[in-house]
Amino acid sequence: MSDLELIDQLRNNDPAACKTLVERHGGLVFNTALGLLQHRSDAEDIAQEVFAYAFQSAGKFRGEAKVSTWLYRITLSKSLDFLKAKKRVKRFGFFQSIFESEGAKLAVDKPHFQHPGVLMENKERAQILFLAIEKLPDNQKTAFVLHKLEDLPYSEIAEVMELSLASVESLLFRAKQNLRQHLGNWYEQNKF
Amino acid sequence: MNQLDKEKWVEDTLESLKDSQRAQAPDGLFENAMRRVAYGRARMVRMPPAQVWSAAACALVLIVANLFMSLDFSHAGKKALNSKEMFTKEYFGASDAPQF
Repeated sequence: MSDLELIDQLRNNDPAACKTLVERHGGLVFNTALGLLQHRSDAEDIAQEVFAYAFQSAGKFRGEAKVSTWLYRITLSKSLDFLKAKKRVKRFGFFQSIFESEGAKLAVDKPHFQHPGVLMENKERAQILFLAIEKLPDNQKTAFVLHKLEDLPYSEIAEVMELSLASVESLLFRAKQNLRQHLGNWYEQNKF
Repeated sequence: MNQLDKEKWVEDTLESLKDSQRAQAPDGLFENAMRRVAYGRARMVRMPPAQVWSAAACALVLIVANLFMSLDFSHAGKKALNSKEMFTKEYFGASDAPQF
């Protein structure tokens, strides 16, 4: 059954079609959310929201893009909204941080996230890379995660993010520049 | 610190996601998504414990401050009543004091 036939069955509220959609694209949704949020239980939450939304709004899907593109867009939207909400909570925490010690503040910059799919020999460096990815602006972070974690070509990233190919190339170029800077700073602070 | 070492380290780190596998979707994803559809449940927002305790401490400070203020007012009220009685006795004399 093709993805479009699957969507047709979703519109008819067929539970078997819902299950097939999750089996086929669950990894895509979860992996993307995990790369952006860098927190397993948050990514699980978002993945559930994405599919709940997809089941309920299958009627709105016009079939102009691939089903995977549609799911990527929902995942990105929900993940980035979640990150914005988290930042608002952190701003409130600024008042708490006035009473915190210096040691507590420095602890925030320690590598904390391990992606389960990274090769064993790269795990330590990947942890540091994710710390740097966390500091990127949302659009650069999105493009980098889609390219490096989801292995999407530039053309597909452009389709998902609804940007031109040139814009995606520029985003990835700037993302890598910023990552090099963050990594360089981390190297200077921690290696010596 | 060797600049070349640093640059090599940075480039190697930038490529550390190469050949990584996609993370597998968690078990029960379909069932949990269907549950959300069925019950329309909002996602629970996890608040950090430090934030919860800060909010509780602020609420406690406000309650205690209000209690002190209300006790102070009632004390001041009693004082005022006593002053009124004393004034009445002095001015009217104990037997001639008007009954309120």
